[in-house]
Amino acid sequence: MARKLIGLCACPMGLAHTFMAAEALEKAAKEKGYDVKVETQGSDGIKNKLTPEDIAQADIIIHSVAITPEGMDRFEGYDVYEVGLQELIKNPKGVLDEIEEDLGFNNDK
Amino acid sequence: MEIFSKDYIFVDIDLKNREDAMDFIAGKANELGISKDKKQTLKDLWDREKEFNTAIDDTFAIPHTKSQSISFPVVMIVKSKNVIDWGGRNIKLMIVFLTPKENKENIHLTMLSKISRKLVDDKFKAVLNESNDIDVIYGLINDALNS
Repeated sequence: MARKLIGLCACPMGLAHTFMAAEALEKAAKEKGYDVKVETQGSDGIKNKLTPEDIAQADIIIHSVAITPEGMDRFEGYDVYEVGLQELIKNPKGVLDEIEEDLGFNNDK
Repeated sequence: MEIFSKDYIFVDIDLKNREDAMDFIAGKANELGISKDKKQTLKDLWDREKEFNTAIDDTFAIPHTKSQSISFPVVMIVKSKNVIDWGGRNIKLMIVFLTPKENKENIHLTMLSKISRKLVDDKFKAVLNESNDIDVIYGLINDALNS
């Protein structure tokens, strides 16, 4: 079964970086074969909201935020990778490579 | 009250630097009736820019603001004739998002967010970077808005 990767993106205006980062992450994660879901907290509200089940089932959790998002308590007790919005937009694959390396995901392929 | 139109596309503009570009953007927003107050729009654009340089690598910049001076949400496309220094980055293309402080039209913001999503698509960026044809740029952005 495919590994599950979830993300949360949010930025001050909630229009530009949030969605660029979300799209970049979704694309890169899909290319790597992940089952991916990315929540955006943008100016049009919370979209694609992550449920407790999503969070519990996730193999990788990424936060790429430049504000304090809503519902952070959902992630209490889970390991979360925090990645800068710019970094995620520019080099999503590199970000995922590093996280996989950190988790030792590359060893069992 | 249009979110996008051919009137919001500016190509081959003689801009010297980021200051010039920001002034141009705020000025046009005012002329087009998008901004009620050029000075305020300019200040709010700069506040955002100082907080977080909006250049994405050496490809383009996304100056944006959620400002009291803005009457309705829009996207504007500005292409400089020459490469300009954008806080240490070299860019020619600007994708500008202007939205009101209080906004009830969520559907328009969702439409604009689709353009942001397209901005990580290499093909989309390449066409936007290379073409100075208003019809081509209009078609590209309009398709993205309605995707």
